[in-house]
Amino acid sequence: MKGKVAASLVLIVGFLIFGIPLLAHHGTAVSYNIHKVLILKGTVAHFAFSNPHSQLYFNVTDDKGNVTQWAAEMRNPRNLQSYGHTQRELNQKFAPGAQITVTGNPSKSGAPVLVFGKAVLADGWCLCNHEGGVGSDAPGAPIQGEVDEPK
Amino acid sequence: MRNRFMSFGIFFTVVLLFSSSGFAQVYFPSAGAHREPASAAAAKVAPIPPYDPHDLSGVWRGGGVLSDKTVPPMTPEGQKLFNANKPSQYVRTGDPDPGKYIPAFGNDPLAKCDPLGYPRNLGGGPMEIVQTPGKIVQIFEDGRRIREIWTDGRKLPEDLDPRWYGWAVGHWEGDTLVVESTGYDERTWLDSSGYPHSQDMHIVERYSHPDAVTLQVSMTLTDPKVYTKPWSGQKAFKMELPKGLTVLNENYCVPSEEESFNQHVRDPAAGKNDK
Repeated sequence: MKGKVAASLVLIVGFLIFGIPLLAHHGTAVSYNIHKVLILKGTVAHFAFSNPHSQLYFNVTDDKGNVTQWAAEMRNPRNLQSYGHTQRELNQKFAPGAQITVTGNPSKSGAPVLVFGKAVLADGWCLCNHEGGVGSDAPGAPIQGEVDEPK
Repeated sequence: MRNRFMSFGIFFTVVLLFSSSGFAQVYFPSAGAHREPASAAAAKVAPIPPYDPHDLSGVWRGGGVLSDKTVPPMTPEGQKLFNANKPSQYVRTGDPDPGKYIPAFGNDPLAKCDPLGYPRNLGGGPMEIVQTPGKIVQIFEDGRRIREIWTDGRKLPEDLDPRWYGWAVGHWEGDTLVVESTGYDERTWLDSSGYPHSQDMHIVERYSHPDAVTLQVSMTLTDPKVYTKPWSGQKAFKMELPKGLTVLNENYCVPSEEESFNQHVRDPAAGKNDK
């Protein structure tokens, strides 16, 4: 019991130290509902390796056959590169037409935009562990902070 | 025996890394804490560069020197300017209405790729110093902008027009480079919190290089139109190693890319309709 209380305290203090400052800084994550996680299956329309945030556009078809284009807000090129990814590699992985499953947090406005958590391709290749963005990468998983931005 | 074998291994690896051909094959992007593993490992064993307190050249990582925790009281005019700035963050010290600013509804010059100006450009990414006999050039990775500090004895211009990065002259006092600057374009913010300044802002900076990998920067900003007292701060910058081989990322803010992002992601996510 004592251990549980201590662990909770550590968690709370940890959130106070690391959570709030991260969430309080500059960034667009304020526009997303961090308590809701979406998992969407679709096909890649376009990938933009660019500032201020890279973007993945993909088409999702619903049960009635209606197609909606979604946009995912990702890390900027400098941060993608710092995790060991290259523009060439990501352009190849996110080639138009590729089958993809994207997880993230949707916009508060209801527009088909989300903050990127992870993307898995048909062959199992994954841009995950928050390397591509800071959104939730699974139901129940917390948002990791802000998407990095150039100042 | 095993230890000796391991020592040989380490020695051999280091020789390979630092032989000219080995080094030339390693690419060292400046990426701070997130530097990719191969570069980070090689940088760890990089030789300490030759030390000259008057040679400030290198890629340095530090960040903003003036803290908003020590911001002096503003004049009524300063407060008015501050309140008009809506940064791309939703909490800031002293904000009359925290919570109302989200990027799509802000007016941060960054969101249009305007030059960040100085000293704001010190925040964020690293800065490279290129030193020549008569001029020091600071290259900022964020936006790939430059600032020139003349060290050839000239004075600040008397009748100056403002510039995004102002006018700056420097001279050595012992082992300290003293830089005086003014003539900064009023459209720039001092930091991402949106602290304002006037064209008459005057900054004195002192740069010292106490050891091979440290650059100590102190700054005092005086702007009586906006702040009732001078604003001072200091920060220790660290060199990104290996010296001479670390290269800045090409981190441009590209207006067409920014506009596309705002139109397709930032604004719809925030429910902003420009039509």
